[in-house]
Amino acid sequence: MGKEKRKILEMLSKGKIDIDEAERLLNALSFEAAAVDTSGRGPAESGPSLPRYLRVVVEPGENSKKKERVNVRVPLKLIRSGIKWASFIPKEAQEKVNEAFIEKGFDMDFTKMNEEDLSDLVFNLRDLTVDVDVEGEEHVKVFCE
Amino acid sequence: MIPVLFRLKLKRKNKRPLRLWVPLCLIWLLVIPLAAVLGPFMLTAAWVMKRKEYKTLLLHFYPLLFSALWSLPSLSVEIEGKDTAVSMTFI
Repeated sequence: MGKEKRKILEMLSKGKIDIDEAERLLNALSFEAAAVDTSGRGPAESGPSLPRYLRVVVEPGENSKKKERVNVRVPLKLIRSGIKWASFIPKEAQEKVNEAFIEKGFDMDFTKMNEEDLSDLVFNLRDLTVDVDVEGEEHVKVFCE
Repeated sequence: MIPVLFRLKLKRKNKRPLRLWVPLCLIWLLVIPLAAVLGPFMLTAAWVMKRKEYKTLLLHFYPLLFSALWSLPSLSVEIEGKDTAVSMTFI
């Protein structure tokens, strides 16, 4: 058993943290272990594998006369560090951004995202696949790999 | 790992393709000592600043900048049009 896991269990047994907190910490540890696994630095102790890249692929459809193709591969690490930069947006601009998000139906505040939220976000991105076919004109695919 | 090369490929119809390899490692050799020299000034500025947001920004600037740089390798953008194709990759 890992040193960190043992420490969490000790804190739980001593009553320093409750069951929910212990579960949250153990989940965070398993995310970290999975991240180590996917970065190729070493074997993970446990937990599912995490995606490393966000891919955006735009291809012309069957009926399209256009020939434009776009293929973007963004490392998720870059997205994580980008979100951290968001906390330095001036307050006035933050309010405008949040208002725009709410208008579009996203009731969230990117500037208040912490490390745990980011881990959750990246962890859940592994299942993300957006596949849009615009009447045979254009085919857009967003997924993680 | 910090990116060491930036590769740009440009293909145009009826023209010679352009392949450009930019050795970023040479740029880092200049930027890293400069960052080290500016570091104490950043810390002093953070100490003098009264507004908390600016103080935090100055204190977190280098860690965030380097974490973004360290995340750049493998970033790749490929755009292919009718007559032109551009490909950019950080290695």
